[in-house]
Amino acid sequence: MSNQVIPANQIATTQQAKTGALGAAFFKLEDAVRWARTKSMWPLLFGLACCAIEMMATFASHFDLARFGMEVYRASPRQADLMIVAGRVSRKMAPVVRQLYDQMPEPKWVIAMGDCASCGGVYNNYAILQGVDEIIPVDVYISGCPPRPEALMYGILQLHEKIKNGEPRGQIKIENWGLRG
Amino acid sequence: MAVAAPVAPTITLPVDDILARLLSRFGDKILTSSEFRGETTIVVVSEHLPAVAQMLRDELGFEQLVDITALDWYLQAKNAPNPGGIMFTGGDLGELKVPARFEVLYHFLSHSLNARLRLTVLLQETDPAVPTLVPIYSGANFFEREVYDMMGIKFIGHPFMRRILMPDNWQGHPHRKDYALGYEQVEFTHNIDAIEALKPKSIPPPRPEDAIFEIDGAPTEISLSGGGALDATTLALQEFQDPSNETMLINLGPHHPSTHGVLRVGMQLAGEKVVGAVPDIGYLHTGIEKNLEYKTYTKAIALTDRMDYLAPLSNNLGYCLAVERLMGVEVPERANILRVLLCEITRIASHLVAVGTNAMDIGAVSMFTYAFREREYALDIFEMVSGARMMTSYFRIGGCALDVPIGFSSQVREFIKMMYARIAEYQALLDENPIWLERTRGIGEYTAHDALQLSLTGPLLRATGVNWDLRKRQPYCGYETYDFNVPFNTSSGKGDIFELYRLKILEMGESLRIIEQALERLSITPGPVITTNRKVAPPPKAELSTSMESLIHHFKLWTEGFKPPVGYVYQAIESPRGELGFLVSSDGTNKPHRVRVRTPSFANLQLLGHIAPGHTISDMVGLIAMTDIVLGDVDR
Ligand code: SF4
Repeated sequence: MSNQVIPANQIATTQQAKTGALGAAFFKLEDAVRWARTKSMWPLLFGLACCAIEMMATFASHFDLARFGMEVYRASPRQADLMIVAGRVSRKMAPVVRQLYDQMPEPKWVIAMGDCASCGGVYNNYAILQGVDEIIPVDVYISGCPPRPEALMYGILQLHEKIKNGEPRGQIKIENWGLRG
Repeated sequence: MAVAAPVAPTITLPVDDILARLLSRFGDKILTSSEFRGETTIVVVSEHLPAVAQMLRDELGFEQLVDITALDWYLQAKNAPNPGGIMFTGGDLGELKVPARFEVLYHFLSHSLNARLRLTVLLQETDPAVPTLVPIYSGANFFEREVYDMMGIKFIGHPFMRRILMPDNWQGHPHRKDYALGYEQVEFTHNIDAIEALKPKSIPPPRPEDAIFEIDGAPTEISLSGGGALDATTLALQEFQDPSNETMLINLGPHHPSTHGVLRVGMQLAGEKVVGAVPDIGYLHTGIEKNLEYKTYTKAIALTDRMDYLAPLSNNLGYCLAVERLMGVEVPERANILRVLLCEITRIASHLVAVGTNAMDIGAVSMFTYAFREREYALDIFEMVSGARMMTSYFRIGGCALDVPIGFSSQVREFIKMMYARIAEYQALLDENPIWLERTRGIGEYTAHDALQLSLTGPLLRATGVNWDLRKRQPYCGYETYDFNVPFNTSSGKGDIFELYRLKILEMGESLRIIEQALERLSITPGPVITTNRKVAPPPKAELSTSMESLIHHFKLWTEGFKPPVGYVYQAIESPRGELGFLVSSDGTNKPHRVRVRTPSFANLQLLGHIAPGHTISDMVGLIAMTDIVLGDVDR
């Protein structure tokens, strides 16, 4: 076999795969890692409120999130690298959300799905966190009450773009949150 | 235009009879009564409450305590001339001299008389306390804890008087009128720093010892009155008390995917067996009831969607009906047909999720994907009429927001046709599936006595053989004119997971029949979809440019809203989960004094602690799915 270099976009034709002659593709390692990360994101399987129902609809039959390699929701935070905060976070739930986030291994990302998770939504009251970014850093905010499944998918794709471009992570509002008392 | 006469109560209460009997027993020193919009309220002096409740249950046939809630007359009490608060006046049986700030309301329901009755107790500002009703109606448990949590009223003798929705270390009682809503200021760039500084900065992070919910004598927490404890509980108790049995505390949730939301269950296990299970709720407490007090009556509709988010239209309907009763507004025929039609589609969509997730939890994952496939068609219909898939806010006080678009009927017709076939498909999938049967038949059995005692409603009640459906027995929106059956358990008298599944499948079929009839009527019933009463519904847009009066009405409605008469009404409807009741209290201003939502899931969740003991841990998710709770509905 020749030592010919095959462009990355042609690497796996059937013939080459059969013969094992996959050739080579050139990337910066950093880019390759980022690219790989976007291709098998495993979201944490947990929902909070109404938005979670739309999230379920997104990975159910009609909208089929599997098309983005993302239908494998993990119930354990130790196996997940994306947290979709789907719904309103109450002050009673906040410590739990934070603990789940802390239990996820690096690198990890957060999507705030819906108005409630982004900014408190219509609930400007005593019970609801005015945006989940009070306690965990958020990378993508999706507006809507609830956002349509298409909007969630768009948000996910936006996150993929962000990761591919190596953009910095979101900011957290309360600095000392993770400190154990 | 004059406000139409109050809607007549659809049922005739044998009130005089009941009152006479209560009076002859207790005398007018301890009670008096009043009537508003066809609802009778009996005011009782607090010490005598248990005795009156006992008589209601044992002699007068009020099997169920539907709801307990409280009102705070803070401003009125503050401005009252006498010390200690307002004085109750205007009773039909004479005046009771009780100065008060708080009013605790008890709603009773009698199936045999088909009647409702409300008891209220007036309480002073300092150390408000009432005797508990848990020994008489076990279902009072959660309700009393909620009143304590939200209003700070103690229930003397309650076995587990702890906060239920807010965290244990929370300060204050949020539903009191002197408790601020919080965050009410709007943030602008010029004041954001000032507001930011006031926001709570540190919520204590969870400590490991909090991770497991303490179960303070959970297995004995509350036994069912009347018939003794459940067999399963007794069994589990014996096992628990056996010293050779080591038990273990296990925490389920609140983020567990199979708890149908953020439910947390503290479980005590002996090996694989559950000996005690205590639901811990409030992780989704949203303060919706408090927020409703800060909106005008019309604007509040949008908040009601977000409670039971699997059945938003039922919530809209319950709230609108309550305000309509309060205002005495008539709804046009076409609007009623639309309401029935859409609420039945909601019921199907909701049952689809219930059946789909129940099956998935037990391992039949394909059922979930089927159910969600069909649910999309229902959501398409909602989107068609309202523009939103889930949070429709489509009903308005006095009718519906707008008429349905062209193509609505054919889309619904297709939906009906498809659903009949799909329901048969589900049955083919599950009805004879040995694994499904094995894991659902006889799991989580409970009787009608338990169901009535625990204030269960909806399919959970009907699964025990009680034929009670508000659409039939206390109809609203013209349900009495539709031809449909209420499926209930006719064979065993015991509910279990399978029976619940079976009923939901049958109910979907009945709903389809109602939708068919409603569709037929819709095609022959022209007319407006919202009342012409300009005091509650805005005039059509076109009129604004031609009529000065319309312009004024429109302006008044959008700036100020309307002001219902002083008083409160309780309106219940049959949501997919059971009795959804709205208590709307007006103090004569343009915003509700209080809106109390009696959500079916909140009461239904009480069943979990009673059926769980004796089952294995793997059955727990099935049992949670059986109660078909929606945490938004539980916590509000
Ligand atoms: S954004 Fe809307 S749909 Fe989402 S959780 Fe909040 S209220 Fe529910």
